[in-house]
Amino acid sequence: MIRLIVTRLVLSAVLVVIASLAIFVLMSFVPGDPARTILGANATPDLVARLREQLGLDQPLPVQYGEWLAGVLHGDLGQSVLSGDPVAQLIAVRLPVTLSLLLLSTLAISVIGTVVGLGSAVRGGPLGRLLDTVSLVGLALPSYWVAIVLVALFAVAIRVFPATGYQPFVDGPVPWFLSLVLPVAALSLGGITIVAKQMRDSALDVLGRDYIRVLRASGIRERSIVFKHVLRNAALPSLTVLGITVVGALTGAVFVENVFVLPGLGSLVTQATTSHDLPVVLGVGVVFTLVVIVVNLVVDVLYGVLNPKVRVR
Amino acid sequence: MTEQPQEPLLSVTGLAVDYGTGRRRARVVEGVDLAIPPGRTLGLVGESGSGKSTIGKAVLGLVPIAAGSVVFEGRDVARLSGRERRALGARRQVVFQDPYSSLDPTKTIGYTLAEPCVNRPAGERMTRQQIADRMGSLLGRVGLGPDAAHRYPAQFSGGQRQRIAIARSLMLSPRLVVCDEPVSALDLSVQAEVLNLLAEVQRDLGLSLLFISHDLTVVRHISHEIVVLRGGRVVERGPAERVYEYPEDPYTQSLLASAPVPDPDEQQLRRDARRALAEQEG
Repeated sequence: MIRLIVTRLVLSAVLVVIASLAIFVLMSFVPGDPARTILGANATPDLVARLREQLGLDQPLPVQYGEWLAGVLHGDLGQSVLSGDPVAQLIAVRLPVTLSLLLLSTLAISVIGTVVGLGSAVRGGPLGRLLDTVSLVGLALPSYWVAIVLVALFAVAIRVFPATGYQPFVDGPVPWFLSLVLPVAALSLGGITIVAKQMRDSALDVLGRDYIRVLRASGIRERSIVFKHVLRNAALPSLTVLGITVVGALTGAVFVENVFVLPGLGSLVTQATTSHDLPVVLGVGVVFTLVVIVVNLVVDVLYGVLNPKVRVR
Repeated sequence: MTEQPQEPLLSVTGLAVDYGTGRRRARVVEGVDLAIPPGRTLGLVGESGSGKSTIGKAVLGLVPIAAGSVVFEGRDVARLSGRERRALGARRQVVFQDPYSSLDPTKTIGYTLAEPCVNRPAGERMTRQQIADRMGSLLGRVGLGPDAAHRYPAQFSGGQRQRIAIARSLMLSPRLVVCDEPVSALDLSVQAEVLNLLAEVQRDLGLSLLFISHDLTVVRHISHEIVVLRGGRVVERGPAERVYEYPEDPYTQSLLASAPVPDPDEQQLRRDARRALAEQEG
């Protein structure tokens, strides 16, 4: 287990370099010039050139990337081209928002998905058939569309939740939670249906196994069979799906933060991309890459805990 | 066979089982009567779809009974309360066909063996030490070391898993074990070992077995009595040797003729017999 974690950490450094390089190359293709953005459309070419030189934008691309990477290795993510604020500070302010959103969504997806999937498999009947249909619909609905519908329903038509904005956790957990209900709902709805469907299918598969029949014939209580055997065995494939879903929610968070005007990393990176603020885009990219690595690591560790076949080597 | 008639341990009368609901309802077992005296083995033979496994499941209480009755130890199992039915699990056990699906892959062998023994009703509770002792002796009995208890199903072969399944079925000292095709997923040499093991524990522990198989030759060696099933109905029954050596029903004859034998001369005779039967029917 420890070897797994160490290997992953080494690998994550390589991944961060690859991901940032990809972002860098892609951003260099995006039309736009931060110097012109700062100075406005009426600036003289001379002025623009001087600012470009000041910002280091006149350097060849490999040199620019090399300088950025050298800074990162010294713990310096650079400054925003637009505001001049340190990127690390910008991220530190906005990270709690995105993490709150992601953690609550992961919680909602895993808990609700498991309960609905397992329940529909064990109870069967109409709930199961409904889930089979709804999961297809849930898969097809993009989270930003769900977000807009949720705002129209629960913030405009029935005013129970705030439509936009974020309340920090330190100002009290209740406003924090209320401000996140709709964003989390929008972000996790698709994931819930996918995890529930996976859970239902694997639970049905487990329920058809002979060891379940043996336990039933032996007079073991159904509740004990469901929790000790069905849940445990069906959790394995569902865990893989959950990992993929959470990584997908990271992308979804960018949209959802924009719809709900949440001051998180998603809205930061959107602004930075449109204004061609390369250091900020790269910084957020690094953070997102790290989140993906951590999610995958957690999934792998949990997989080892749940599955003796992985553990016994 | 000269012995006085005994009260049967299990008696099945006029059993009918349906699968499906509404218009898709189909009767898969119809009017089946069976009786197994204590300490005897009944072989249930038939092709796939003949309803033999369904009868086993009905005896185990895993499928609802449409008509007739299953009486075990003098009590109708369909009329038991939930608690009584759970208690019955101790005296009526099962070994299934597929050794890969019959053990929970996430649990150690020790957990799997001990599980039926914990949370028993008050009268038959076992202490931790009793469970461990019994596990050790049964693992030895089925030819596995005591260290097997700490290992997982993935670390065992099909034959070993089937031995583990047999050990599990014996943990609660049952009086009847339903064996649903217990050897048909195994290699031929392993089949013989597992069959011998079953015959041995049956004799030594005075168990009753309901032995289900599609292979008459397998059933013959282990059974006292054989019942041949086709399309959910009994077509022939009688003492094992008699049914095997002098089958009366044409279906039993064709079932016997269809099983391959290792002796080429015998195989030729069978092939001829099978052809003759086919010409008669066609």
